[in-house]
Amino acid sequence: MVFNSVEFAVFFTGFFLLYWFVFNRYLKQQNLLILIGSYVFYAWWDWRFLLLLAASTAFNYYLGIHIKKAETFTRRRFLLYLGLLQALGTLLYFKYFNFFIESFTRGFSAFDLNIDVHLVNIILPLGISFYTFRTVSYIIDIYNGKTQPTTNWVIFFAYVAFFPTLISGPIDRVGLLIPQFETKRVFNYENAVDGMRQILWGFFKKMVVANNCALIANPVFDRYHDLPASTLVLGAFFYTIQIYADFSGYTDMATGFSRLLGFNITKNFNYPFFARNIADYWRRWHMSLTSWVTDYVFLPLTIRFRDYGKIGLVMAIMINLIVVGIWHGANWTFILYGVLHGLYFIPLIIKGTMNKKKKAGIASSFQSFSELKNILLTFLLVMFTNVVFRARNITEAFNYYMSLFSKTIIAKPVLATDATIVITTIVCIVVMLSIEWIHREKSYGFQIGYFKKPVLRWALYLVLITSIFCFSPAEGSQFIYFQF
Amino acid sequence: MKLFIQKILLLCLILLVILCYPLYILYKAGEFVDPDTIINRQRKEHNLFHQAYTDESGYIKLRNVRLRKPEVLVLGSSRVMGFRSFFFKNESSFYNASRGAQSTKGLNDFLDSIPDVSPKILMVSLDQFWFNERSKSSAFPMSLKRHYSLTSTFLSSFERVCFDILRGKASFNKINASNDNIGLFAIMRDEGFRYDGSFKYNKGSRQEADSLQIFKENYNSIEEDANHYEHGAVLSKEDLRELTIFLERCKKRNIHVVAFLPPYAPFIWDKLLENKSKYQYMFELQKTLPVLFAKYDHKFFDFSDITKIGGNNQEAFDGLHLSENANLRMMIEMCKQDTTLNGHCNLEHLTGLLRNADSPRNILKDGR
Repeated sequence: MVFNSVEFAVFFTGFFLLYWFVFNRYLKQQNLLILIGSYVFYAWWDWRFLLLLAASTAFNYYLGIHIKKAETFTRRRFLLYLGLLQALGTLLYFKYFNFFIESFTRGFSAFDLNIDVHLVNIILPLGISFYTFRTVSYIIDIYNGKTQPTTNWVIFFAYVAFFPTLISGPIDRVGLLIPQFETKRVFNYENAVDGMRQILWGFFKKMVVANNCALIANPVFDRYHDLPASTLVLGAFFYTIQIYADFSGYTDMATGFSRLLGFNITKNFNYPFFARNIADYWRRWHMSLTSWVTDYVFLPLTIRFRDYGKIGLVMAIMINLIVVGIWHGANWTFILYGVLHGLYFIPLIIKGTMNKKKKAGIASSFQSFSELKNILLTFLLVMFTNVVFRARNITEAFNYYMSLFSKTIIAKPVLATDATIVITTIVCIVVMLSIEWIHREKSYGFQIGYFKKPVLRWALYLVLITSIFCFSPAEGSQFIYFQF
Repeated sequence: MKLFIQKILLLCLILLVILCYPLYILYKAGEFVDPDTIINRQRKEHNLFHQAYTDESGYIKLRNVRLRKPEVLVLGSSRVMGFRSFFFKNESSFYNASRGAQSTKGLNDFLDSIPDVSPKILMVSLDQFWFNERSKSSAFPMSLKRHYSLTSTFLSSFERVCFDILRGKASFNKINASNDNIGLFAIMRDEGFRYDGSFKYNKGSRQEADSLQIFKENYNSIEEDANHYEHGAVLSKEDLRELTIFLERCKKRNIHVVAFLPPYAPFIWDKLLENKSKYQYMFELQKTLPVLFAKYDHKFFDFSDITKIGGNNQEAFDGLHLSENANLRMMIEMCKQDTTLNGHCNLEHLTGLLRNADSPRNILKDGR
């Protein structure tokens, strides 16, 4: 069940009515309904993996309690390692097993040692990376004394499986979400209306911008070897917009649905295409993952490498971004993606400007030409690196890059997609980026609650809804981040 | 909460008002009918189906083959949609799965998809451009899977039906009056797939062949080296290998293959001959395939030039697609030379049909 499906519309309408009209009296009932609803939502995809989700949740629930109860440091540490072993073991098996086997086999074959190993046909459980990171942060925070374990199993199970964020995040931390599960939710009109607006904006980004970009980018990546470099640049451009509109669109929807249920979840995007440098970009892109990795990987590493000065910082950032890369999947392309982003940090570290935060457009327009230049340069770097993110393997990425650097860069681009679709997509991208630029100080792009005239607001809603109906292609309803 | 619900309902109401007319058109025209329902309804009503905004014909054809287990099966691209059930003695033993395979790999995929069905005779059309090393990427694969979902159908249809309503291509009266055909094209054009899998073209919706205007697009493609007319010197080894595998597998499954190169409109074939040096693969194919088929004891025919069996430009809808009359000509020719196929047909009856054809494009009156 995906957000942009008739099934989900029916599911959520029923759920919403039950949530606020039938189970609204008691908090426990509401939480239980969230848990049941979330499990139904997950089982809709494959009920067998529900057992894995439930087992993993139950294991971490008891582990959290026992870590807190443990009387000795050694026992606490043992329980933490046990939890990490379970979480990482599950991830390693489902996500990385074949990758490691394949890589080892290839490694040995380089030395003429041929090993006959059979790969296992493993289906990746949906959302496993997201809910595993949620449970891992839970037990680490308890171990570090930053949080208390919850003794209410319904709340913990509902927190791990909370359906708006179950499949593609954001990776909400215990400190933010569990207190909200413990407090009685009261329907807030303003919050709900704003949630609806955010859902609408998410739908527009996903179904109009992302899905149309996919129609242009996919044929370019499929036939990159036959196409001039100018077309490959366009392919990378449309893919970069696609992945942003797809993932941030999903997050907008997830945030909106959560707000309709009275929850405020972690902000995951802060207009990353308006970032002034790559460090700024990573503070704005997939923020819940970045902050997770910063807390549990980067900070411990910087402490460990503190004696090595800037080299230590480079090492910590490099490892940090490789972890971010490999979190996406078992492929050398994701590792290279992390390495490339790590390399982009080096000039910033040398210049000492890595942590220099510039708020995006405090003034009504660009503060300087150099700011615009920085935004464009950052976008180009991201776009360039997304080629490796999109490629099926390193060879494909390498060939794409090689084709990019050729004389055909000045040739006329050849897009296989219908010209009407290309023009529509460009217009929609301009609309999306313009609206987001105007609202860059707001929490999401379409926060138009400040418009005083309701007629204007309603007219905009209808324009957006009509454009969704008119310009959404039938293909590409799946979200890119579902695979992670 | 009350205010919120009221506003949501108001928004839904406004949307409903905006959407209801196109939605009604889509619903009434049968654009939302899922492929399995189409199969069931066709079985009962023998009506036409041709949806305008979605294409599940690959799945429908495959499913029908699995259900009906025909003795004589036609497989290939849209170029053989004119083979009809009344060409055969036992009409119910025939099914036309044209568009079920759009490449040599598609042939093997189709065969893989029917492990429990082994027709006695498989009539296979081998589009010439399948074997062009240069044009492989232009052949779009036909999906045999069921892709139908209400959401995607709605999204893919909505914008286009709005435009079609404005252009008069979707008329309320016509759609409202219709109660049998499924799909906007089937209703508006009276054109679509019949129960036997063949395709009914509506003469009225197609330009007359006389002007030769209908070949313009194909002729341009020859000039532009595009759209199934890509120039090419070399035969695709990969496709020959796929075909060999296909023939071997048919042999093992005791399926008698009667294959042929489908005809071009004579006007276009002449242009191809004029440009012979640019289409060397095509002429190479005419030499290679008979040898390959002989090796596996299957039958092979070359109908690239339909004039050799009496066809003409009048029988063409465009450069690639010829009418059921041209298909009947091929059928007669194949029956004459293949005893197995002849056993399923009545040659006299076939020649009679051709002689008494209603028009160059229809054998029976009004394309029934």
